[in-house]
Amino acid sequence: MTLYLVRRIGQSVVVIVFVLVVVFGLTRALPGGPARAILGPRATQVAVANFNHAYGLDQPLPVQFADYVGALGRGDLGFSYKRNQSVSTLIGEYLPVTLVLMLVSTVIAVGVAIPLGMVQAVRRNRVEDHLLTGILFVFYSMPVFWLGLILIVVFAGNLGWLPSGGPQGGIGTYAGQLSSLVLPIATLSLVTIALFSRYLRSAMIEALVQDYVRTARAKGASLNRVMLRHVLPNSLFSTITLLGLSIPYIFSGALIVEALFNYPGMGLLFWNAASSRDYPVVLGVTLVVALATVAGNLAADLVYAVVDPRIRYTAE
Amino acid sequence: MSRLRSLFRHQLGGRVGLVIVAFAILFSFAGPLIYHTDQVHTAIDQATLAPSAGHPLGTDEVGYDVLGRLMVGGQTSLEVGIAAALIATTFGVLWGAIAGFFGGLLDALMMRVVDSLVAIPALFLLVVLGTIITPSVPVLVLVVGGIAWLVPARLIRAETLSLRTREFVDAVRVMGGSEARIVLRHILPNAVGTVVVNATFQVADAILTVAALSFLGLGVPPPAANWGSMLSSGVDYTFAGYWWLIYPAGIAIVITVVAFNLIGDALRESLDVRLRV
Amino acid sequence: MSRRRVLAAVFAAFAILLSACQGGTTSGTTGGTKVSGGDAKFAMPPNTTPNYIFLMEPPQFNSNIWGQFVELMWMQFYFFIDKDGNPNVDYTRSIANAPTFSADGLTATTTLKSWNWSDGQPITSRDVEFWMTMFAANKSAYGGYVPGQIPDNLTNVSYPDAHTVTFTFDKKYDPTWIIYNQLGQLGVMPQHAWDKTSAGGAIGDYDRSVNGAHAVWNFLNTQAQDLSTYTTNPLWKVTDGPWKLDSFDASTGHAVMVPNTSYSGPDKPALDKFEMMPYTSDTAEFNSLRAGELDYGYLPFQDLNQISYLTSHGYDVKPWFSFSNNYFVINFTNPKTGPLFKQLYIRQAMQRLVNQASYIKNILKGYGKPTYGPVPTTANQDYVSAAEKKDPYPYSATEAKNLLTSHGWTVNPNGTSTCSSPGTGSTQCGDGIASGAKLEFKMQYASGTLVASQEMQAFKSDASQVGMQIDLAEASPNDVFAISVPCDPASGNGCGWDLVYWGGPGWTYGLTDTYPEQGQIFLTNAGGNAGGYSDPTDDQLILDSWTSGLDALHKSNDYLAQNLPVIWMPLAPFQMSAISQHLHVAQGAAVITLPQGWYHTS
Repeated sequence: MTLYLVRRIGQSVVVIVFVLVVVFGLTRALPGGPARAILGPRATQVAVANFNHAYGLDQPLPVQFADYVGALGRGDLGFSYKRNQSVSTLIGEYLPVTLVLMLVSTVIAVGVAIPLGMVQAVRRNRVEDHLLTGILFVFYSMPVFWLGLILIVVFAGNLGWLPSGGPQGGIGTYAGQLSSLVLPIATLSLVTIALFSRYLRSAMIEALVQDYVRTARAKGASLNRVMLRHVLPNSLFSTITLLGLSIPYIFSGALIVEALFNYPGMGLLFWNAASSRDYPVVLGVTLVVALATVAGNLAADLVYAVVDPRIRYTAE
Repeated sequence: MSRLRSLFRHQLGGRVGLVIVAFAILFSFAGPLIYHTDQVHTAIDQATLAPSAGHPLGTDEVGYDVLGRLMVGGQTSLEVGIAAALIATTFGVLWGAIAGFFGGLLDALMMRVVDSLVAIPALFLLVVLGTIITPSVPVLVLVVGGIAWLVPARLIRAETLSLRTREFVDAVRVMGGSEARIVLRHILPNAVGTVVVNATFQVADAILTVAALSFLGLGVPPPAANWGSMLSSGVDYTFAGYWWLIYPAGIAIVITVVAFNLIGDALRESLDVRLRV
Repeated sequence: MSRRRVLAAVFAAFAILLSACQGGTTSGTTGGTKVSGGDAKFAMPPNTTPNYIFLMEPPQFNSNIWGQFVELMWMQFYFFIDKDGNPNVDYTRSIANAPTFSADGLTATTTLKSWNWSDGQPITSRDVEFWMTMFAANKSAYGGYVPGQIPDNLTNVSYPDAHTVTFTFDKKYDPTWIIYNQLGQLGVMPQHAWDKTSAGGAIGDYDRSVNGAHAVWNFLNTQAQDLSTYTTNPLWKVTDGPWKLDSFDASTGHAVMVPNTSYSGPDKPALDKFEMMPYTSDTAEFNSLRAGELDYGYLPFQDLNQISYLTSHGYDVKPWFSFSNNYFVINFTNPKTGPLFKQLYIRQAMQRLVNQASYIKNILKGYGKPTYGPVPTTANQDYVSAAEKKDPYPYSATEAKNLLTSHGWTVNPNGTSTCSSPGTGSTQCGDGIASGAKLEFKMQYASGTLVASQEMQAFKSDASQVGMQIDLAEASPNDVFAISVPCDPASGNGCGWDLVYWGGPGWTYGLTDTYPEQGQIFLTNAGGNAGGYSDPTDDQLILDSWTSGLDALHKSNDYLAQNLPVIWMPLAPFQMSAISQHLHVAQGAAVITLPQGWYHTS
């Protein structure tokens, strides 16, 4: 087991390094570099040269990468070209916002998807199942931003019940802006519910047809008992695995929701930084997201390995 | 073919899906032949007009007829969706099959690449890519396909892993068959079910990804249309009350994606006997 | 400080007292009585918040909000107010008085007013010297520096006494140019508080040596990187302007200013508090506006049909124009399409296909101003010549077609026109244009505004009438800036683009050039010369405009209006301001507002 753990961690490290190299390379591949983009069209050649020199951009690529990695080792994620703040400060400000969005949505999604999945599994192929499947299907097939747009138009535009943008400011101010959290969280929750329940429905149905379950039923156990004592616990394991693997998907969803609602989280930070060629921020956010994803995958794999011993010993 | 027909005999969802897809294709490709609109020349003095007899779904912000644009946009959305799915599936299947079949170091290496790319959420990668390359339809197909191949790669690798331990593979080896032959002529055909199901879902996802990219400003430039870019201008008009710039394109996307998902589900249920309880 | 440039167009402040609520620069009920005190909330443009406080800012931190922020706290050497949309120097609000020139025109002598810093110390020529030494030593890091101009063109600066500064230039320049574009860029920094190299270090004369000046600049720049200390750092408390910073939220950019009681100038604030409100999007701001939370906000352009709602809820809506022109840029250095662009008739044809009147009417809904040349058409009488008031190239697809056919092109409407008669004769395509060359160009424009997208799509559509094929591509504004450099054959950078459009404005005067000469845009190798336009006649005319007065200015600008170094586009307002009907405001042309001139009315 420890050997497995060590190997998986080793692989995760390789993945992180690979991600860093790829994104670093991509940012340096942009023709023209960041100087003109950041300094604007009035910049003189002198200003451009000064900028490149100040930020080490006139060095050869491998040197730049080595410098960056060295700085990472010291805990220095770099300094934003455009925002006059360190990347770690910015991430420290914006990450909690995204975490709130993602965590609350995920909790809601899990809290809704599991019971939904159970209902659908128990009542499969009946009216309730078809109805729920149908509705969830539609949500699953919607572009996230369109769902958000409709919610804005209906609830903020037409009915005027809720504000159309995310809360302004950091999480400290949320207490007074709860109504602006509703729409962004609702949007992300709905698509995540749709995603989860699709998976959970089939996982639960699959659990219901397992031999041991059929045996239990044959022996007289009620459907409810079987659901609660066998299907649900197994589904929880599936859910954890699913959560671990869904992190990239939920991050992408958060990016879109943040862009749509102008919700000042890490997704919006990334989007603005990428559009303005603020490389240090782009790299910093990518690193954080990659770490989160890798950690999520690792956790999911561990849970899976604990549950299913076969995994540990084969094919890895 | 007969197997395909029998597949859908008991799947109402699948049949509905097929009908919708057929309609979408007809609407997009045959529609403009019947309903002529100019989707190339702007008419800014007729921008954002409400639906009327002359324009059943109104006009957009540069004066294009929205209904006509839906048709033309559908062409791009469907083309990119299907092409990207084909590329993703082909590439992913080959990658996964090779990794799964040969195992060992090659497998580890190939799958680490997949893991790394999965660790970067697709949209983040695309946003950075989008600042380097200027999108056109072929580029969009490659980019979307280039992100989507990761899922089939993993799936097929898993399938291959389980298939290669079967006896028939040993039998082929004993008879002198090459590794490539085994992969191509024995492993893959047995994984076809999974591949086809996955490919259908890939189309659905690709259409959604293209829509998201267009929303973020990374879609094809005007006057080319696709459903996603029609919506991105709708976002600017949330308070203006121009509902015809918001609902039609979105509904088109949802219906088409639902259809492909229905087909995929139907295929999967038909091919997976165990689920028939 | 570079902001003055922006300032250049600033301030309708006390113009209020002089001109009351005339024209479109102020608002407020005509019958209201002035109420002293109160707060005012001002909406900042989306995603633009103050994030740098030091006066000698690196170019990337220069934005109009930076200017709005620091110019309320620190006064300028010369202060510019707005008169009918034009910047004019106002000596009553400047630290320096009007200069006197020597007989040979080389030396300008200025005297300083007896004003004080907020800590009671007097503002002296040592503070000006501090600025000059820091400027000279750190110019490459500073956003306000234009190579070849001040301080490069000074042979000497001297400080005969505590209230006199003498500048000696390397040749005789036009006095207006000197005041507006050279001395008008200078700032004044508190030497007695800032001339140090570490937080605990002593004040010294470090700035008088180049290394010392570097050290001081590095220190001050580093201090400015800590946004959370903007209200507590003793450095930033030494100010001389009408306002001081009361609170600042580093993560949102929310800034609150209160009056500086030791301000020596004439325009003391009537308000108790001036708040700069941050918004991440214009929709968020619009929501706030609709909820009545703002005194001075703006209406996003795409929501123009909500004007009546705002008017009935206590706001006046008016366009606020910057002192700018607008254009899209041509790449003369592109190896492939450069030869085509170098032909005047092709540029003229292109300009003939820009339907400015239609864009203003249909896209800008009437709130736009056409651009006929480098000088804004609304500029004051002196700056705009008679020739520049008329459109030299009105929209005409027929005229565009004639230009092409009379120069050996086969026009292919809705297709791509080709050159059928190559050569250098007067009826042939021109030098470097091969037979069969296509009239096809790629246009990259900035995303983010609906207006730019609509304009470009309309342009493409109109250009197709004469077979001029325009391939559109959208990119973020910063990416578009990055592309806009002349071709460098060694690296290949800048050699692939044909046309770029930043979405407007093209060039805003008043940043480094209040007096609208074109030295920073159209001079060969100028920093703002994105397309590599190079014309010896033009270069000479521009240099003449620095030395030889208004006639030379007119000649230079007329030449450019005719010669099309870029393709002119209509100017959209900087914003549609929505101002409370009970607020009397003072507003500057370069999109800086002067809250010291605001007051509530009952």
